[in-house]
Amino acid sequence: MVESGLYSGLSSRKRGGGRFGLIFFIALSFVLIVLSRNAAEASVFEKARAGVADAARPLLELIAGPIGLVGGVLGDVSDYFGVMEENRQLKEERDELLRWKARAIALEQRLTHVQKLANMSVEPEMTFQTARVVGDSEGPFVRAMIVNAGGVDRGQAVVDEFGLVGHIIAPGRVSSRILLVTDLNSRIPVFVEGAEASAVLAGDNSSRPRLKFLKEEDVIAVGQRVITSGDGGVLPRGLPVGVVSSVREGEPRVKPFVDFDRTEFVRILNYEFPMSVDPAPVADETDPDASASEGAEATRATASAGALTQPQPAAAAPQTPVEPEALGVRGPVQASAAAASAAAPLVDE
Amino acid sequence: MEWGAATRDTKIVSFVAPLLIGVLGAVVLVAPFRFFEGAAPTPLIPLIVVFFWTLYEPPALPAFSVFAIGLAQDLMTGSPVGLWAMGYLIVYAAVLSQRQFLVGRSFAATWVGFISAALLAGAVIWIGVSLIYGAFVGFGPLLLQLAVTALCNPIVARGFAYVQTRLAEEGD
Repeated sequence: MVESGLYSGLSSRKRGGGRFGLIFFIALSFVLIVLSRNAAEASVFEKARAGVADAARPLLELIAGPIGLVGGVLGDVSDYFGVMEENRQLKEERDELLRWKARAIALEQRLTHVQKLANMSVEPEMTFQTARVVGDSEGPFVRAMIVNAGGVDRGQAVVDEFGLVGHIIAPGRVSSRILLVTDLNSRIPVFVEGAEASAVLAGDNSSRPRLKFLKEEDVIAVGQRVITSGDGGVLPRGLPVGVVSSVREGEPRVKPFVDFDRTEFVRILNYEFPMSVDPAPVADETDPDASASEGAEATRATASAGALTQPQPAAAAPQTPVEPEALGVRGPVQASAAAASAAAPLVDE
Repeated sequence: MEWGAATRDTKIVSFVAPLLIGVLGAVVLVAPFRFFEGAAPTPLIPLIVVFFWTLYEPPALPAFSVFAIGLAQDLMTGSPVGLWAMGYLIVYAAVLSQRQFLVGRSFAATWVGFISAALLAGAVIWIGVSLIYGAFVGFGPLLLQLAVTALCNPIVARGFAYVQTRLAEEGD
């Protein structure tokens, strides 16, 4: 036994495992790093991550509960000192929101009317699942969260009451991992309002992700609002992301609306990109008899109705696929709807 | 016979304890503590585990356990798989090689040894991440986390010393 300042029961044995074991596991780690950099990342490792997060969920919830409680109590105490000022600010905000509400109702009615006039296909409403943040991966090179909701799909957008938090990267059975918009690997197609420019919001692990792939003629200014563009069809258009906070050396940076250090509850949006409209009734070309029969039936029906015009063929011309733009996916209409949906207050579980 | 079984059980516990504490430390890394509104990162408890047991009781922490702790951290935090495992294994190898210079020294000297080991782990992780992402990533956040870990090391290591002392007493 050798005396030490910290621990007196020092083992006299030098090493527990052999040198071979050490070399073997270093080599294994290296192989895993190489594999994780390539295709395996998307399959085996993500399943492993989801499985580990699922297994750790009870423990994380056990830890997260008291943390939330203590944070809430501490927050209440500190809020007490600024309650008057906060009250004044809230009243001002309420008055402004009431004005916006009146305007939104009027615009919504006008919009519905215009949509009817234009016979416009409207994007289906999104459903969502509310989840609580139980894990907060704050590794130096990773910006991610773990939420207590499983059975979701990879790529689904995650929002809180302020805006876009990120998207699902590892869905598990009872928990899921969210890649935050600030993460180094995050790439979100966005639209800069005011500049009317499409870009990609690229995270770099800082609190201010960058706007990339802008055109030379795009004029980006501080204060412009950034929303999801819906390009690529993975995320819905119009989710509020942030505001341009700086433009230095032609590299605009965005301050996200979301305060990731305070996010407790999130919504996982179930969004399906409307790839096509409802198919029109088409005659079964593989069954000429049936088609002829239906045609004859239609002719008979028209004749019996005493129609003077030529009978319409039973098989209507196939409807032309409608571009996403025509569906209103890129229009400001859906932007407002999605933003309103995302900004709705989150309810406690 | 009973004595033999008890010794065997103690040996198993001695082996499992650092592994379990290390894995729990990896889970704690993703708990939403958000110290000082997220300004201060969670300390790397697994790094303290690896340093402490490699230095004072290496038989209780074979390379497999170090690898498992690192892998658990990679999977929990979402880091590239194998990265922290590699970092901890290199720290493990370095501490084993320098063990004769560190054992029996004053606490301050051991602490300097820990800071050196932390910097070594940081360098390995930073180089690994930069190679994986094909760009130099900021070293600041990692340095901050290592600094917080180094500050926590004296208290946490004392806790580990207590655990290991109890385990050693059980085994005697």
